[in-house]
Amino acid sequence: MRLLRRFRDAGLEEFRAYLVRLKENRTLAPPEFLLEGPEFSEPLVPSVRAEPRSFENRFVFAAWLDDTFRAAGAEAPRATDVKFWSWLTLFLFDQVCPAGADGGRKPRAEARYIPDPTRWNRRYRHLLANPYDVYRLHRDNPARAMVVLANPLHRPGELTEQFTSRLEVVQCPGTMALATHLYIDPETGRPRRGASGKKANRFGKLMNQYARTWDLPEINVTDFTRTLPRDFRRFVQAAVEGDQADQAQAG
Amino acid sequence: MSIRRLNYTKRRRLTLDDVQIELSPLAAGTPRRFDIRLTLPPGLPPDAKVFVEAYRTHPPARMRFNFGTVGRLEWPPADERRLSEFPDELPPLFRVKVTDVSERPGRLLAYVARLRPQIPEVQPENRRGILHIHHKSLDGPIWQLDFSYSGYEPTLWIDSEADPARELARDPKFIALVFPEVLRQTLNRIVIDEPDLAEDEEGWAGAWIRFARSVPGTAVPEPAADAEDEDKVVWIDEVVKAFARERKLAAVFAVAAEEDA
Repeated sequence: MRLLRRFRDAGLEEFRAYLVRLKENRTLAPPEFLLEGPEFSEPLVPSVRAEPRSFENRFVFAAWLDDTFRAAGAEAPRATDVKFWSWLTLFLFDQVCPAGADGGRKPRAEARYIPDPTRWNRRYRHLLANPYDVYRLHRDNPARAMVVLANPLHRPGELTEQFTSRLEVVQCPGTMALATHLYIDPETGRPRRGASGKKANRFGKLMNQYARTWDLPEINVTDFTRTLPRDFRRFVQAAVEGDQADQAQAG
Repeated sequence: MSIRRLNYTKRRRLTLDDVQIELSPLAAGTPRRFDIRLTLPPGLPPDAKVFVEAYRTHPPARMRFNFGTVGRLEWPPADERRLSEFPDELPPLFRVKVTDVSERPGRLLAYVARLRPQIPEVQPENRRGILHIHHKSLDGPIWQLDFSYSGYEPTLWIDSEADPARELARDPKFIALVFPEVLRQTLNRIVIDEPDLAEDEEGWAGAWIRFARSVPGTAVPEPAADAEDEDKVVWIDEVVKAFARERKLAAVFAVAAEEDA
Protein backbone atom coordinates (compact mmCIF):
# COMPACT_ATOMS: atom_id res chain seq x y z
CA MET A 1 0.00 0.00 0.00
CA ARG A 2 1.31 3.43 -0.93
CA LEU A 3 0.55 6.70 0.80
CA LEU A 4 -1.14 9.13 -1.59
CA ARG A 5 0.45 12.58 -1.69
CA ARG A 6 0.30 15.92 -3.45
CA PHE A 7 3.09 17.86 -5.08
CA ARG A 8 4.74 20.84 -3.50
CA ASP A 9 5.58 23.76 -5.83
CA ALA A 10 9.00 22.29 -6.64
CA GLY A 11 7.53 18.88 -7.48
CA LEU A 12 4.90 20.37 -9.77
CA GLU A 13 7.45 22.43 -11.67
CA GLU A 14 9.80 19.43 -12.04
CA PHE A 15 6.94 17.33 -13.39
CA ARG A 16 5.97 20.13 -15.80
CA ALA A 17 9.57 20.31 -17.01
CA TYR A 18 9.64 16.52 -17.47
CA LEU A 19 6.57 16.69 -19.73
CA VAL A 20 8.34 19.27 -21.90
CA ARG A 21 11.51 17.16 -22.11
CA LEU A 22 9.49 14.02 -22.85
CA LYS A 23 8.28 15.56 -26.10
CA GLU A 24 11.90 15.78 -27.24
CA ASN A 25 13.05 12.45 -25.81
CA ARG A 26 10.16 10.01 -25.82
CA THR A 27 12.01 7.33 -23.88
CA LEU A 28 12.83 9.58 -20.95
CA ALA A 29 11.96 7.74 -17.73
CA PRO A 30 9.28 9.31 -15.49
CA PRO A 31 10.83 11.19 -12.51
CA GLU A 32 9.50 8.83 -9.86
CA PHE A 33 11.72 10.38 -7.20
CA LEU A 34 9.23 13.30 -7.19
CA LEU A 35 6.55 11.03 -5.76
CA GLU A 36 8.19 10.53 -2.38
CA GLY A 37 10.83 13.21 -1.84
CA PRO A 38 9.68 15.51 0.98
CA GLU A 39 10.95 18.56 -0.88
CA PHE A 40 8.78 17.62 -3.86
CA SER A 41 5.58 16.27 -2.29
CA GLU A 42 3.68 15.98 0.96
CA PRO A 43 1.20 13.37 2.28
CA LEU A 44 -2.52 14.08 2.18
CA VAL A 45 -4.33 14.91 5.40
CA PRO A 46 -6.03 12.70 6.49
CA SER A 47 -3.75 9.91 5.26
CA VAL A 48 -5.01 7.88 2.33
CA ARG A 49 -3.33 4.63 1.28
CA ALA A 50 -3.86 2.85 -2.00
CA GLU A 51 -2.60 -0.15 -3.88
CA PRO A 52 -1.65 0.88 -7.41
CA ARG A 53 -3.21 -1.38 -10.02
CA SER A 54 -4.06 -1.56 -13.66
CA PHE A 55 -7.35 0.00 -14.73
CA GLU A 56 -9.38 -1.44 -17.56
CA ASN A 57 -11.10 1.85 -18.27
CA ARG A 58 -11.98 5.28 -16.85
CA PHE A 59 -14.93 3.86 -14.93
CA VAL A 60 -12.82 1.32 -13.04
CA PHE A 61 -10.26 3.99 -12.17
CA ALA A 62 -12.91 6.43 -10.87
CA ALA A 63 -14.59 3.72 -8.79
CA TRP A 64 -11.21 2.69 -7.33
CA LEU A 65 -10.36 6.27 -6.37
CA ASP A 66 -13.78 6.88 -4.85
CA ASP A 67 -13.59 3.64 -2.85
CA THR A 68 -10.02 4.41 -1.74
CA PHE A 69 -10.90 7.79 -0.31
CA ARG A 70 -14.16 6.64 1.22
CA ALA A 71 -12.34 3.82 2.97
CA ALA A 72 -10.15 6.49 4.53
CA GLY A 73 -13.20 8.52 5.57
CA ALA A 74 -12.36 11.28 3.11
CA GLU A 75 -13.43 12.71 -0.26
CA ALA A 76 -10.97 12.86 -3.13
CA PRO A 77 -9.79 16.43 -3.81
CA ARG A 78 -11.62 18.28 -6.56
CA ALA A 79 -10.04 19.08 -9.90
CA THR A 80 -9.01 22.52 -8.67
CA ASP A 81 -6.36 20.79 -6.50
CA VAL A 82 -3.75 20.90 -9.26
CA LYS A 83 -0.96 19.56 -7.06
CA PHE A 84 -2.86 16.42 -6.04
CA TRP A 85 -4.05 15.49 -9.54
CA SER A 86 -0.64 16.13 -11.06
CA TRP A 87 0.99 13.91 -8.42
CA LEU A 88 -1.56 11.16 -9.09
CA THR A 89 -0.81 11.47 -12.80
CA LEU A 90 2.85 10.76 -12.19
CA PHE A 91 1.86 7.96 -9.79
CA LEU A 92 -0.14 6.30 -12.61
CA PHE A 93 1.98 7.60 -15.49
CA ASP A 94 2.32 4.25 -17.26
CA GLN A 95 -1.46 4.21 -17.64
CA VAL A 96 -2.08 7.82 -18.67
CA CYS A 97 0.92 7.97 -21.02
CA PRO A 98 1.89 4.37 -21.73
CA ALA A 99 5.09 3.43 -23.51
CA GLY A 100 4.67 1.86 -26.93
CA ALA A 101 6.36 -1.26 -28.27
CA ASP A 102 9.47 0.81 -29.01
CA GLY A 103 9.59 2.05 -25.42
CA GLY A 104 8.62 5.57 -26.45
CA ARG A 105 5.71 7.57 -25.02
CA LYS A 106 3.50 10.02 -26.92
CA PRO A 107 2.74 12.88 -24.55
CA ARG A 108 -0.20 15.08 -25.57
CA ALA A 109 -1.23 18.54 -24.35
CA GLU A 110 -0.09 19.44 -20.84
CA ALA A 111 -3.69 19.91 -19.62
CA ARG A 112 -4.13 16.14 -19.87
CA TYR A 113 -1.52 15.60 -17.17
CA ILE A 114 -1.59 18.84 -15.16
CA PRO A 115 -5.10 20.26 -14.66
CA ASP A 116 -5.71 23.76 -16.00
CA PRO A 117 -8.76 24.90 -14.04
CA THR A 118 -8.51 28.48 -15.30
CA ARG A 119 -9.51 27.77 -18.91
CA TRP A 120 -13.03 26.52 -19.61
CA ASN A 121 -11.90 24.70 -22.75
CA ARG A 122 -9.08 22.83 -20.99
CA ARG A 123 -10.31 22.14 -17.51
CA TYR A 124 -12.23 18.98 -18.43
CA ARG A 125 -9.25 17.48 -20.25
CA HIS A 126 -7.28 16.04 -17.34
CA LEU A 127 -7.09 12.28 -17.85
CA LEU A 128 -7.74 11.41 -14.20
CA ALA A 129 -9.67 14.34 -12.70
CA ASN A 130 -12.26 14.25 -15.46
CA PRO A 131 -13.43 10.63 -15.08
CA TYR A 132 -13.54 11.10 -11.32
CA ASP A 133 -15.58 14.31 -11.67
CA VAL A 134 -18.09 12.52 -13.90
CA TYR A 135 -18.25 9.47 -11.62
CA ARG A 136 -18.84 11.69 -8.61
CA LEU A 137 -21.61 13.64 -10.38
CA HIS A 138 -23.42 10.35 -11.01
CA ARG A 139 -22.41 8.55 -7.84
CA ASP A 140 -25.99 7.39 -7.21
CA ASN A 141 -25.77 5.37 -10.46
CA PRO A 142 -22.37 5.84 -12.14
CA ALA A 143 -23.14 3.28 -14.87
CA ARG A 144 -25.44 5.83 -16.48
CA ALA A 145 -22.34 7.87 -17.36
CA MET A 146 -20.58 4.93 -19.01
CA VAL A 147 -20.71 6.76 -22.34
CA VAL A 148 -17.80 8.91 -21.14
CA LEU A 149 -16.16 6.33 -18.86
CA ALA A 150 -15.86 3.28 -21.11
CA ASN A 151 -12.48 4.06 -22.67
CA PRO A 152 -8.96 3.52 -21.29
CA LEU A 153 -7.41 6.30 -19.23
CA HIS A 154 -4.93 7.35 -21.89
CA ARG A 155 -7.47 7.40 -24.72
CA PRO A 156 -10.72 9.08 -23.57
CA GLY A 157 -12.12 9.09 -27.11
CA GLU A 158 -14.31 11.36 -29.18
CA LEU A 159 -17.54 10.68 -27.30
CA THR A 160 -15.87 11.72 -24.06
CA GLU A 161 -14.47 14.89 -25.60
CA GLN A 162 -17.84 15.95 -26.99
CA PHE A 163 -19.92 15.14 -23.92
CA THR A 164 -17.57 16.32 -21.18
CA SER A 165 -17.05 19.64 -22.94
CA ARG A 166 -20.81 20.23 -22.59
CA LEU A 167 -21.16 20.65 -18.86
CA GLU A 168 -24.94 20.98 -18.93
CA VAL A 169 -25.12 17.61 -20.66
CA VAL A 170 -22.58 15.76 -18.55
CA GLN A 171 -24.14 16.98 -15.30
CA CYS A 172 -27.66 15.86 -16.17
CA PRO A 173 -28.65 12.31 -15.14
CA GLY A 174 -31.29 12.08 -17.88
CA THR A 175 -29.09 13.10 -20.79
CA MET A 176 -26.20 10.89 -19.68
CA ALA A 177 -28.50 7.90 -19.24
CA LEU A 178 -29.91 8.57 -22.71
CA ALA A 179 -26.45 8.94 -24.27
CA THR A 180 -25.25 5.71 -22.67
CA HIS A 181 -28.43 3.94 -23.80
CA LEU A 182 -27.86 5.10 -27.38
CA TYR A 183 -24.10 4.86 -27.77
CA ILE A 184 -22.85 2.07 -25.48
CA ASP A 185 -23.40 -1.61 -26.22
CA PRO A 186 -24.39 -3.10 -22.83
CA GLU A 187 -23.02 -6.51 -23.80
CA THR A 188 -19.49 -5.32 -24.52
CA GLY A 189 -19.45 -2.10 -22.49
CA ARG A 190 -17.87 -0.46 -25.54
CA PRO A 191 -19.18 2.32 -27.81
CA ARG A 192 -21.42 1.09 -30.62
CA ARG A 193 -20.10 1.08 -34.14
CA GLY A 194 -20.50 4.53 -35.72
CA ALA A 195 -20.78 6.34 -32.38
CA SER A 196 -18.52 9.18 -33.41
CA GLY A 197 -17.67 12.60 -32.08
CA LYS A 198 -19.83 14.11 -34.82
CA LYS A 199 -22.86 12.15 -33.63
CA ALA A 200 -22.14 13.14 -30.04
CA ASN A 201 -21.85 16.78 -31.05
CA ARG A 202 -25.28 16.61 -32.70
CA PHE A 203 -26.70 14.89 -29.62
CA GLY A 204 -25.24 17.59 -27.34
CA LYS A 205 -26.73 20.42 -29.38
CA LEU A 206 -30.10 18.68 -29.43
CA MET A 207 -30.07 18.18 -25.66
CA ASN A 208 -29.26 21.87 -25.14
CA GLN A 209 -32.39 22.66 -27.18
CA TYR A 210 -34.52 20.12 -25.32
CA ALA A 211 -33.36 21.48 -21.96
CA ARG A 212 -35.27 24.68 -22.76
CA THR A 213 -38.50 22.75 -22.96
CA TRP A 214 -38.10 19.62 -20.84
CA ASP A 215 -36.95 18.78 -17.34
CA LEU A 216 -34.30 16.37 -18.54
CA PRO A 217 -32.90 14.98 -15.24
CA GLU A 218 -35.91 12.70 -14.78
CA ILE A 219 -36.79 11.69 -18.32
CA ASN A 220 -37.80 8.12 -19.05
CA VAL A 221 -35.01 7.11 -21.40
CA THR A 222 -37.01 4.55 -23.37
CA ASP A 223 -39.94 6.91 -23.87
CA PHE A 224 -37.69 9.81 -24.72
CA THR A 225 -35.93 7.99 -27.56
CA ARG A 226 -39.25 8.20 -29.45
CA THR A 227 -38.93 11.99 -29.57
CA LEU A 228 -35.49 11.94 -31.18
CA PRO A 229 -35.12 13.00 -34.82
CA ARG A 230 -34.65 10.53 -37.69
CA ASP A 231 -30.86 10.76 -37.73
CA PHE A 232 -30.80 8.97 -34.34
CA ARG A 233 -32.93 6.08 -35.62
CA ARG A 234 -30.00 3.69 -36.11
CA PHE A 235 -28.83 4.11 -32.52
CA VAL A 236 -32.37 3.95 -31.14
CA GLN A 237 -32.92 0.68 -32.95
CA ALA A 238 -29.59 -0.70 -31.75
CA ALA A 239 -30.47 0.31 -28.18
CA VAL A 240 -33.86 -1.39 -28.36
CA GLU A 241 -33.02 -4.46 -30.42
CA GLY A 242 -29.30 -4.88 -29.83
CA ASP A 243 -26.32 -4.34 -32.06
CA GLN A 244 -26.94 -7.49 -34.08
CA ALA A 245 -30.12 -6.02 -35.55
CA ASP A 246 -28.23 -2.82 -36.25
CA GLN A 247 -25.43 -4.70 -38.01
CA ALA A 248 -27.86 -6.85 -40.01
CA GLN A 249 -29.57 -3.68 -41.23
CA ALA A 250 -26.25 -2.07 -42.08
CA GLY A 251 -25.17 -5.21 -43.93
CA MET B 1 -31.21 46.64 -32.37
CA SER B 2 -32.95 44.52 -29.80
CA ILE B 3 -33.95 40.98 -30.79
CA ARG B 4 -37.60 40.09 -30.43
CA ARG B 5 -37.93 36.84 -28.53
CA LEU B 6 -40.85 34.52 -29.24
CA ASN B 7 -41.98 32.20 -26.48
CA TYR B 8 -43.43 29.27 -28.41
CA THR B 9 -43.24 26.99 -25.38
CA LYS B 10 -45.53 29.21 -23.25
CA ARG B 11 -43.04 28.62 -20.46
CA ARG B 12 -43.23 31.18 -17.68
CA ARG B 13 -40.03 32.88 -16.72
CA LEU B 14 -39.60 33.28 -12.98
CA THR B 15 -37.86 36.45 -11.84
CA LEU B 16 -35.63 37.55 -8.99
CA ASP B 17 -38.79 38.87 -7.33
CA ASP B 18 -40.25 35.36 -7.40
CA VAL B 19 -37.21 33.52 -6.05
CA GLN B 20 -34.69 34.59 -3.43
CA ILE B 21 -32.12 32.21 -2.05
CA GLU B 22 -29.88 32.68 0.95
CA LEU B 23 -27.06 30.46 2.17
CA SER B 24 -26.24 29.81 5.80
CA PRO B 25 -22.85 31.05 7.03
CA LEU B 26 -19.88 28.85 6.22
CA ALA B 27 -18.83 26.82 9.25
CA ALA B 28 -15.76 24.61 9.36
CA GLY B 29 -16.60 21.02 8.55
CA THR B 30 -20.27 21.67 7.77
CA PRO B 31 -21.58 22.40 4.29
CA ARG B 32 -23.84 25.40 3.92
CA ARG B 33 -27.64 25.06 3.99
CA PHE B 34 -29.91 27.08 1.72
CA ASP B 35 -33.18 28.79 2.40
CA ILE B 36 -35.49 29.89 -0.38
CA ARG B 37 -38.36 32.32 -0.65
CA LEU B 38 -40.52 31.17 -3.52
CA THR B 39 -43.55 32.95 -4.93
CA LEU B 40 -44.98 31.17 -7.95
CA PRO B 41 -47.01 33.09 -10.53
CA PRO B 42 -50.75 32.37 -10.75
CA GLY B 43 -52.15 30.06 -13.41
CA LEU B 44 -49.79 27.11 -12.98
CA PRO B 45 -51.49 23.69 -12.55
CA PRO B 46 -51.69 22.74 -8.86
CA ASP B 47 -50.27 19.27 -9.53
CA ALA B 48 -47.16 20.54 -11.34
CA LYS B 49 -43.93 19.54 -9.59
CA VAL B 50 -41.45 22.09 -8.22
CA PHE B 51 -37.71 21.38 -8.16
CA VAL B 52 -34.77 23.46 -7.00
CA GLU B 53 -31.29 22.58 -8.30
CA ALA B 54 -27.94 23.79 -7.03
CA TYR B 55 -25.13 23.51 -9.55
CA ARG B 56 -21.79 24.71 -10.71
CA THR B 57 -19.71 23.95 -13.74
CA HIS B 58 -16.27 23.68 -12.18
CA PRO B 59 -15.49 21.72 -10.19
CA PRO B 60 -18.71 20.18 -11.48
CA ALA B 61 -21.41 19.49 -8.91
CA ARG B 62 -25.18 19.31 -8.90
CA MET B 63 -27.89 18.66 -6.31
CA ARG B 64 -31.63 18.48 -6.89
CA PHE B 65 -34.33 19.12 -4.28
CA ASN B 66 -38.02 18.23 -4.51
CA PHE B 67 -40.23 21.05 -3.25
CA GLY B 68 -43.57 19.29 -3.75
CA THR B 69 -46.20 20.69 -6.07
CA VAL B 70 -47.50 24.13 -7.03
CA GLY B 71 -50.66 23.46 -5.01
CA ARG B 72 -48.74 22.09 -2.05
CA LEU B 73 -45.21 23.41 -1.74
CA GLU B 74 -43.19 21.35 0.73
CA TRP B 75 -39.79 22.55 1.87
CA PRO B 76 -37.40 19.66 2.53
CA PRO B 77 -36.27 19.62 6.18
CA ALA B 78 -33.39 22.00 6.92
CA ASP B 79 -30.83 19.21 7.20
CA GLU B 80 -31.81 17.90 3.77
CA ARG B 81 -31.17 21.36 2.32
CA ARG B 82 -27.47 21.07 3.19
CA LEU B 83 -25.32 21.57 0.10
CA SER B 84 -23.15 18.53 0.78
CA GLU B 85 -21.75 18.49 -2.76
CA PHE B 86 -20.51 22.06 -2.25
CA PRO B 87 -18.45 21.76 0.92
CA ASP B 88 -15.96 24.50 0.05
CA GLU B 89 -16.37 28.25 -0.13
CA LEU B 90 -17.42 28.27 -3.76
CA PRO B 91 -21.16 29.00 -3.71
CA PRO B 92 -23.32 27.24 -6.32
CA LEU B 93 -25.80 28.78 -8.71
CA PHE B 94 -29.46 27.74 -8.52
CA ARG B 95 -32.28 26.80 -10.90
CA VAL B 96 -35.97 26.55 -10.14
CA LYS B 97 -38.17 24.36 -12.36
CA VAL B 98 -41.92 23.83 -12.42
CA THR B 99 -42.74 20.75 -14.49
CA ASP B 100 -45.93 19.35 -15.98
CA VAL B 101 -47.14 15.96 -14.72
CA SER B 102 -50.43 15.55 -16.54
CA GLU B 103 -50.74 17.01 -20.04
CA ARG B 104 -47.12 16.52 -21.22
CA PRO B 105 -45.18 15.04 -18.32
CA GLY B 106 -41.74 16.53 -17.88
CA ARG B 107 -42.44 19.72 -19.85
CA LEU B 108 -41.15 22.88 -18.20
CA LEU B 109 -43.97 25.22 -17.23
CA ALA B 110 -41.88 27.81 -15.40
CA TYR B 111 -38.14 28.19 -15.10
CA VAL B 112 -35.31 30.37 -13.93
CA ALA B 113 -31.55 29.60 -13.88
CA ARG B 114 -28.22 31.17 -12.94
CA LEU B 115 -29.64 32.47 -9.67
CA ARG B 116 -26.93 33.70 -7.34
CA PRO B 117 -27.71 33.16 -3.66
CA GLN B 118 -27.15 35.75 -0.99
CA ILE B 119 -24.10 34.84 1.07
CA PRO B 120 -23.85 36.13 4.65
CA GLU B 121 -20.10 36.79 4.45
CA VAL B 122 -20.44 38.89 1.30
CA GLN B 123 -20.97 42.57 2.03
CA PRO B 124 -24.32 43.87 0.76
CA GLU B 125 -22.61 46.43 -1.48
CA ASN B 126 -20.85 43.58 -3.32
CA ARG B 127 -23.94 41.53 -4.03
CA ARG B 128 -24.99 43.31 -7.21
CA GLY B 129 -21.59 44.52 -8.39
CA ILE B 130 -19.63 43.39 -11.41
CA LEU B 131 -16.73 42.02 -9.33
CA HIS B 132 -17.40 39.01 -7.11
CA ILE B 133 -15.23 38.90 -4.02
CA HIS B 134 -14.75 35.63 -2.15
CA HIS B 135 -12.22 34.04 0.18
CA LYS B 136 -10.34 30.75 0.11
CA SER B 137 -6.85 29.47 0.75
CA LEU B 138 -4.63 30.62 -2.12
CA ASP B 139 -1.56 28.70 -1.00
CA GLY B 140 0.72 31.74 -1.10
CA PRO B 141 -0.68 34.77 -2.94
CA ILE B 142 -2.83 37.34 -1.12
CA TRP B 143 -5.23 37.75 -4.03
CA GLN B 144 -5.99 36.19 -7.38
CA LEU B 145 -8.39 37.02 -10.19
CA ASP B 146 -10.34 34.06 -11.56
CA PHE B 147 -12.46 33.87 -14.71
CA SER B 148 -13.22 30.17 -14.48
CA TYR B 149 -16.02 30.34 -11.96
CA SER B 150 -19.19 30.27 -14.05
CA GLY B 151 -21.86 32.69 -12.88
CA TYR B 152 -19.34 34.59 -10.79
CA GLU B 153 -16.97 36.01 -13.43
CA PRO B 154 -14.67 37.60 -12.58
CA THR B 155 -14.02 36.51 -9.00
CA LEU B 156 -11.45 38.27 -6.87
CA TRP B 157 -10.24 35.59 -4.49
CA ILE B 158 -8.64 36.81 -1.27
CA ASP B 159 -6.56 34.45 0.83
CA SER B 160 -8.47 33.35 3.94
CA GLU B 161 -5.35 33.33 6.09
CA ALA B 162 -4.29 36.82 5.03
CA ASP B 163 -7.75 38.25 5.68
CA PRO B 164 -9.46 36.28 8.46
CA ALA B 165 -11.72 39.24 9.30
CA ARG B 166 -12.77 39.55 5.64
CA GLU B 167 -12.24 43.29 5.65
CA LEU B 168 -9.41 43.55 3.14
CA ALA B 169 -11.59 44.34 0.14
CA ARG B 170 -12.72 47.51 1.93
CA ASP B 171 -9.22 48.57 2.94
CA PRO B 172 -8.37 51.77 0.99
CA LYS B 173 -4.76 50.65 0.49
CA PHE B 174 -5.81 47.27 -0.88
CA ILE B 175 -8.33 48.96 -3.17
CA ALA B 176 -5.73 51.43 -4.41
CA LEU B 177 -3.16 48.72 -5.09
CA VAL B 178 -5.31 45.90 -6.39
CA PHE B 179 -8.42 47.23 -8.11
CA PRO B 180 -6.63 48.94 -11.04
CA GLU B 181 -4.86 45.64 -11.74
CA VAL B 182 -8.19 43.80 -11.51
CA LEU B 183 -9.56 46.21 -14.12
CA ARG B 184 -6.51 45.72 -16.35
CA GLN B 185 -6.61 41.90 -16.19
CA THR B 186 -10.34 41.83 -16.80
CA LEU B 187 -10.18 44.12 -19.83
CA ASN B 188 -7.23 42.14 -21.17
CA ARG B 189 -9.31 39.02 -20.92
CA ILE B 190 -12.33 40.53 -22.65
CA VAL B 191 -10.70 42.77 -25.26
CA ILE B 192 -7.60 40.74 -26.21
CA ASP B 193 -7.75 37.12 -25.02
CA GLU B 194 -11.40 36.29 -25.64
CA PRO B 195 -13.03 39.10 -27.66
CA ASP B 196 -16.11 36.95 -28.35
CA LEU B 197 -17.07 37.41 -24.69
CA ALA B 198 -17.95 41.08 -25.20
CA GLU B 199 -20.52 40.21 -27.88
CA ASP B 200 -22.92 39.11 -25.16
CA GLU B 201 -24.00 42.54 -23.97
CA GLU B 202 -26.15 41.04 -21.24
CA GLY B 203 -23.28 38.93 -19.88
CA TRP B 204 -20.57 39.82 -17.39
CA ALA B 205 -18.12 40.92 -20.07
CA GLY B 206 -20.66 43.36 -21.52
CA ALA B 207 -21.09 44.90 -18.07
CA TRP B 208 -17.33 45.40 -17.73
CA ILE B 209 -17.04 46.98 -21.18
CA ARG B 210 -19.86 49.38 -20.30
CA PHE B 211 -18.06 50.21 -17.08
CA ALA B 212 -14.77 50.84 -18.94
CA ARG B 213 -16.54 53.14 -21.42
CA SER B 214 -18.09 55.08 -18.56
CA VAL B 215 -14.77 55.96 -16.94
CA PRO B 216 -14.27 59.69 -17.62
CA GLY B 217 -11.00 61.10 -18.90
CA THR B 218 -9.77 58.17 -21.01
CA ALA B 219 -7.21 59.79 -23.32
CA VAL B 220 -7.56 57.50 -26.36
CA PRO B 221 -10.66 56.23 -28.18
CA GLU B 222 -11.79 52.64 -27.81
CA PRO B 223 -10.20 50.51 -30.56
CA ALA B 224 -12.33 48.50 -32.99
CA ALA B 225 -12.78 44.78 -32.32
CA ASP B 226 -10.36 43.92 -35.15
CA ALA B 227 -7.70 46.46 -34.11
CA GLU B 228 -4.11 45.40 -33.39
CA ASP B 229 -3.45 44.07 -29.88
CA GLU B 230 -0.94 46.91 -29.31
CA ASP B 231 -3.74 49.48 -29.78
CA LYS B 232 -5.98 47.53 -27.40
CA VAL B 233 -3.23 47.47 -24.77
CA VAL B 234 -2.84 51.25 -25.06
CA TRP B 235 -6.59 51.77 -24.57
CA ILE B 236 -6.73 49.42 -21.58
CA ASP B 237 -3.76 51.22 -20.05
CA GLU B 238 -5.50 54.56 -20.49
CA VAL B 239 -8.76 53.27 -18.97
CA VAL B 240 -6.87 51.99 -15.93
CA LYS B 241 -5.08 55.31 -15.48
CA ALA B 242 -8.32 57.24 -15.87
CA PHE B 243 -10.01 54.94 -13.34
CA ALA B 244 -7.23 55.52 -10.80
CA ARG B 245 -7.24 59.28 -11.41
CA GLU B 246 -11.00 59.59 -11.11
CA ARG B 247 -10.98 57.78 -7.77
CA LYS B 248 -7.87 59.65 -6.63
CA LEU B 249 -6.27 56.35 -5.65
CA ALA B 250 -2.79 57.78 -5.14
CA ALA B 251 -4.13 60.27 -2.57
CA VAL B 252 -6.37 57.65 -0.99
CA PHE B 253 -3.36 55.38 -0.59
CA ALA B 254 -1.16 58.13 0.86
CA VAL B 255 -3.76 59.16 3.44
CA ALA B 256 -4.38 55.54 4.50
CA ALA B 257 -0.64 54.88 4.77
CA GLU B 258 -0.20 57.99 6.89
CA GLU B 259 -3.03 56.94 9.20
CA ASP B 260 -1.43 53.50 9.59
CA ALA B 261 1.98 54.98 10.36
